[in-house]
Amino acid sequence: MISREEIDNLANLARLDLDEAQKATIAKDLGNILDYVKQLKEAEGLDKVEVEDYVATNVMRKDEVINETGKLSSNLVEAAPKHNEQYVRVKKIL
Amino acid sequence: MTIIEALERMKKGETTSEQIVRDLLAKIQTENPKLNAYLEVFTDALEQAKKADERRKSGEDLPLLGIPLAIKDNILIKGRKASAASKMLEGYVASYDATVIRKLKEAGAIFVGRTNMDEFAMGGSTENSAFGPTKNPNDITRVAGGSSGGSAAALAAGLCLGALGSDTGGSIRQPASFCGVVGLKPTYGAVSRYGVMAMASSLDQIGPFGQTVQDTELLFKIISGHDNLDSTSQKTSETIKVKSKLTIGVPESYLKEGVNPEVLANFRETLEKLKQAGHEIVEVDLPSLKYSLACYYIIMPAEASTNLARFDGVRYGAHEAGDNLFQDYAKTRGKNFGTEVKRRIMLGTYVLSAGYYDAYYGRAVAVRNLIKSDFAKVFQQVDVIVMPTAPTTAFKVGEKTADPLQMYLEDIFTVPANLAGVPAISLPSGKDSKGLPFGLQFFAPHFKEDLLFQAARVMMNNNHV
Repeated sequence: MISREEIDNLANLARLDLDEAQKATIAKDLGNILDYVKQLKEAEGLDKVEVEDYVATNVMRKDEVINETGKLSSNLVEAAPKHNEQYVRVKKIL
Repeated sequence: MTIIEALERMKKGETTSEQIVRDLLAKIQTENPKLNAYLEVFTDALEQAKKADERRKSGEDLPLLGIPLAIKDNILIKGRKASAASKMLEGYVASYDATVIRKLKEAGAIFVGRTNMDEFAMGGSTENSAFGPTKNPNDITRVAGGSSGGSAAALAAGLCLGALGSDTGGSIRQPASFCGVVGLKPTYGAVSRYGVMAMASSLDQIGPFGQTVQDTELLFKIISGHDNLDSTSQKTSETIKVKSKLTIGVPESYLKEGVNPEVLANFRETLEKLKQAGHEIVEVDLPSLKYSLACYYIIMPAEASTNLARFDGVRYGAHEAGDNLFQDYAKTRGKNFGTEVKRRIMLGTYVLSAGYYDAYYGRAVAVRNLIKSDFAKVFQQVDVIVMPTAPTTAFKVGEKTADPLQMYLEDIFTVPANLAGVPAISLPSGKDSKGLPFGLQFFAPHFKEDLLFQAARVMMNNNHV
């Protein structure tokens, strides 16, 4: 079981507004799931494993404008629930 | 009608895309209210079909010209809504095509609609959709599986000719099994993920559903290939020499617990048939396989919790106003995410938080490497590995919603492929005493989908399904 303080802290970190009932359910469920995943502690041979993993490489492109100015950005800005011309509106940050 | 049949009949002039789509729309009208497979049927479907017919008349011949497909609601089609079955994306319209959609359009395919799913692909029954569960066409009191339940149900009910889904831990294969169609999770990196809403980026793959192995293979060949817009996409040029007799591995120790007896009996019967057909069945040992589910339920929520941070009420979709910016985020997310999504975000935040990171996430990543190495070793002995797709057939709507861990156990045979990045295919394998489809699953080494298709054809021919 996870403590109430931990749940509050996690909800805060995850930017999730949860009501009391949700907090109680999630505390219980997380407790059960964490009990289940504890079995990973028993896994052996972790130091010996050799995995031939592919190497992820960065895919870079030149820093140049490839679209007509505003064509893509206006689409994206319009998808924001609060926007004003070419700007996304948010509440005061500082 | 299969895709291959439809293409042949259209080529011969025996039918048209318009006729096929008219028939589908009529069927959707009567069946979809019962099944809830489609969240939206595109009003221009018929128009798309007519255009395809005109192109065919003018001499064009594309590999999927005029073939109507259904698309999971987390894959973007430019100019159309995409909601991932969440209230969070209310009003969102895609501003670009996913690479798979671009490829399908170039192949001449048309889109009937977007299909229901578990919210943000989190679930194994499509009951986590904000728009109600999808029902199983074989028995509407039962689930269609998930998370791509809408795509599987639409295809099984004859409401499209093929469909796309996404598979992070079994979300194509398990609904394919529950509904009685073919579903493929391709190799990680074989199909571009550009334009699919990310759930767990190291596990997600887009894949096709087909009524037959041939249809599934055709769709896979079209959507796969390297794409600069997905940095995990791989170049592959390997062609595989197809053998007439396969060596098939069975991980016996992994099948001992938690499998429904009828599922196991069906599985044994299939093995016997494969043996009689001259294929070699050998027992294989993947000692770390038993940790798959525990490993998955750390890595997946960890990645999901970070991926879903982008849904903040600022960039797109729903917005709830609070007293300050922090409250805007928390209220928007608190109100618009469903229970399962919140649960996974909280779990992911927990396993990634300071003090727990090494014990949970670090450990899971290390164990994942063990699982990968087990697969690599076994694939030196066998061509393919076989397992049931799911430990049960389709369960009742509401049966597993109260206990998330019970629901997670449904993924026991599907998550290993995602963790190891290998391809796997689910095939219909007859029906149980209640008339519900069984699913059989083959795994192959990375990028050897051809071997999967061969094994699949062998099994379908032997089973006469």
